[in-house]
Amino acid sequence: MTEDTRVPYRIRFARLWEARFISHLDLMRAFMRLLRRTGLPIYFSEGFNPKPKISYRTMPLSSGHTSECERVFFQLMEELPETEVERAFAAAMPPGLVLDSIRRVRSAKKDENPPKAMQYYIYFTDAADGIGERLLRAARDENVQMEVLDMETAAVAILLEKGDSSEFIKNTFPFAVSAATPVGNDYVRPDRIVEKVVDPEKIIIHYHRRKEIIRQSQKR
Amino acid sequence: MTGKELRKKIELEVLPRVRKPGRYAGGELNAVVKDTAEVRLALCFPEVYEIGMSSLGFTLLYHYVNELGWAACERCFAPWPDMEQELRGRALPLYSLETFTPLSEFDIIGFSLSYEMTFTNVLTMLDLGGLGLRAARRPDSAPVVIAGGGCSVNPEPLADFIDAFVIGEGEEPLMEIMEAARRVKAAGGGRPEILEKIAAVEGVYIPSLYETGTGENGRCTVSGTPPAPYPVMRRYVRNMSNSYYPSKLILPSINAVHDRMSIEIFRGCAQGCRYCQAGMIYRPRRERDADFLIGNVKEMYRHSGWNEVSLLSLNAPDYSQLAHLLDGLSEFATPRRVSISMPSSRIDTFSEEVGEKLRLVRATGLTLAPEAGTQRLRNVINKRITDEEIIGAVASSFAAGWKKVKLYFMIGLPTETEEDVLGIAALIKRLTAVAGKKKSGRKRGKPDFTLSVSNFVPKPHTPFQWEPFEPVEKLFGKQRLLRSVIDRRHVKLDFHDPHRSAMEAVFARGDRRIGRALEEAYNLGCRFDGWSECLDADKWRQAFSRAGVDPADYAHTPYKPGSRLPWSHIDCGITTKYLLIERAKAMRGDTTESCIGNRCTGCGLDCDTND
Repeated sequence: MTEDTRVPYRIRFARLWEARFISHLDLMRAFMRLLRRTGLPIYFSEGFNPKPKISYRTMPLSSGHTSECERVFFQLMEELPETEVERAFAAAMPPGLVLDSIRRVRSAKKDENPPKAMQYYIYFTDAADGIGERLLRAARDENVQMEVLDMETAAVAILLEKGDSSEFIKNTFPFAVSAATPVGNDYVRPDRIVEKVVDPEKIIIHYHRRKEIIRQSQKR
Repeated sequence: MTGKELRKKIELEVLPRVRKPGRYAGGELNAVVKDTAEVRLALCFPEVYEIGMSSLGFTLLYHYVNELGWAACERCFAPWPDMEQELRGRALPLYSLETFTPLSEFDIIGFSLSYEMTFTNVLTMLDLGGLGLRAARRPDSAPVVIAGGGCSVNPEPLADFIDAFVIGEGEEPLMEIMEAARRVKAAGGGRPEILEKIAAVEGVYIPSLYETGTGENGRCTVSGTPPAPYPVMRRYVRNMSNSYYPSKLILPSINAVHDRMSIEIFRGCAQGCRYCQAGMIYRPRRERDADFLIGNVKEMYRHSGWNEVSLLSLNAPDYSQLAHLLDGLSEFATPRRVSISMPSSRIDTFSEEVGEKLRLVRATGLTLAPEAGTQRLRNVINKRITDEEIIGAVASSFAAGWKKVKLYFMIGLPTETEEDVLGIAALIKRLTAVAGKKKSGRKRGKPDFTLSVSNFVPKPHTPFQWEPFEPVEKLFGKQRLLRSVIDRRHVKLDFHDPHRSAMEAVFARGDRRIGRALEEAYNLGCRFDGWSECLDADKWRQAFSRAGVDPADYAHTPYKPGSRLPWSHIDCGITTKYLLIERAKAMRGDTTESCIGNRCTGCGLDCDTND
């Protein structure tokens, strides 16, 4: 092996309730420090100010939003088993970031399964005034697939904090929709659609990134 | 409402509506959350999260108190006005970040005071925390409000709002206060009993136990009769070498001003710069053990993943174990791509060898503080460096590849003339010439000079404590003069606002009456006065006039040497005689050597570190 062996890995993790109030930049910083805490042989960039080489592969998450599907690519200087890398990460994760999985990938540059769309669950503290109808109409105008969620399903998805019950979620947010927005040039931030219809000063809205939809063909 | 309920309410209703909600969310890595404790302390920093979390003293005390199994220490920072408004609008209290407990439910509230311009924020926090402003009106059921930090060497402007001040370094007296509170609580007592007990702790000043009188210029002075200790002696840690230092530090979840491993290599300073309050009130100089620090950094890194370690002190090159420390640190840091930085250096003690070591990991800039432009004035303030040394340091740092130089100067210093001000420009001209010169075979980038020019503010317990603050118009004139003569193609000029400095002077040299103006200003809506976008000069003018206080008198009237000063009841261990001798030498332009490796300069401390 030469000195600049670089082995690419991909981590998937969730950003939960207690870590939702940090900006994307702060999350990146937190991730750099997380990498260092793992004690793994991280590959650093060259130059005056060496940094771990990472690439954040999901769309930046807005402050306040939660997510189950954040993906970051990073590189190690040696080939290590996925389980060993996972163990090191699990011990170093900060509160609110929860490890899902780590995979050895073929390339740090090319995404083998680029997501086609992003699915959000969007929660509302008030369902009055036929919000649902108006939301669905606004989504159709923007080519975003939206449907009303049944609250049993919706509540489970953001049972994120220890001690919260699905009753609490259902009491807080009596209404929720799911929205799938295409990634790429057609990407529409879900809050842009929602805020056309709902005044965030009056109703509390919570955005949760539920999953990345990898291949649209899956729907067949 | 329980802490959990308050937390839900804040998270759902308040945080989505404020700027930088991460400031108020808590939940950081290594934060200490205790469900039960015999004594609960809310450590309060009257500035935003990003600044408070960068304060060494604040984080040190936080972790130190939390080492006690029976005590809990939680954090609270000043809410930015948008957050304050949201809390007020919903009638919600200011709370601690660990358990979302309202301040009024703690046993002790402890403010860390490091800057006079944060005083209105102290009042915001007391008020929003449900404690009320004036100490005398708080009920027996209220927490005990204490305050410490650099500003407490003149506690008078806040004396009406704080129950007890801790004068000097907090580690030891705070532990004694916690112990006292524990005993009192176990016996069923509350605020009055705790105060009675801690009155006996050395270094504690309880304003309500003292009498006030009128001194020179109508200033309010303070005197005490037994059992109230008089004067109040400053506390400091006698043996620093292995003194407590946390290794599992809280990691700020949003970008703090100093987002790195900071290690305190020594406390106090032997240089004796005559304008410098820190150089006087943290004496004697006490070093930490280098091997202890190296071990500490390794632990800190493991718990944090920070990519920079910064050596904190008042003048790092004075550290006797510096070479050993840098060797030990770089052995650990270099392979991990961790950089080492060392702010605030005096050039006369800065060696090239040290510069090389610092450069190993990452090229950073050189920061120098000549403070004055001419040798004469540098002698007056006892900054014993020559033009040649400054030029040499800049030349060698450019030769070593550093391209940024930051220089600190002051204007408005005692005895300053126009020649001294022009001397700054002349020195800069020589520096830019040296830095721009090409050495054979090596290409240089364009030199990058930043010149920060602040206004001299006379501070208590320094040889210049009797001096007036220079009139604001004169300072503006000197700024204009500098702007007109400095070639700003190569130099970025950065001036401090003379109006804000004047306010600093009022609070630094003020007496108890200033507190009334502070309260008026708070009621008029003054907040975050240290931030240029927040300081509202009109409101302050109104506040001073309502309180019947003339700020110009407080800022610009000299105190007569020998007279009783508003802070004469606080004894920092430095004798007035020494301060007067230093003052006389300053006026003659005589310097005093550093007390490292030289004769004891006789400041009055019974210090055995430099025998």
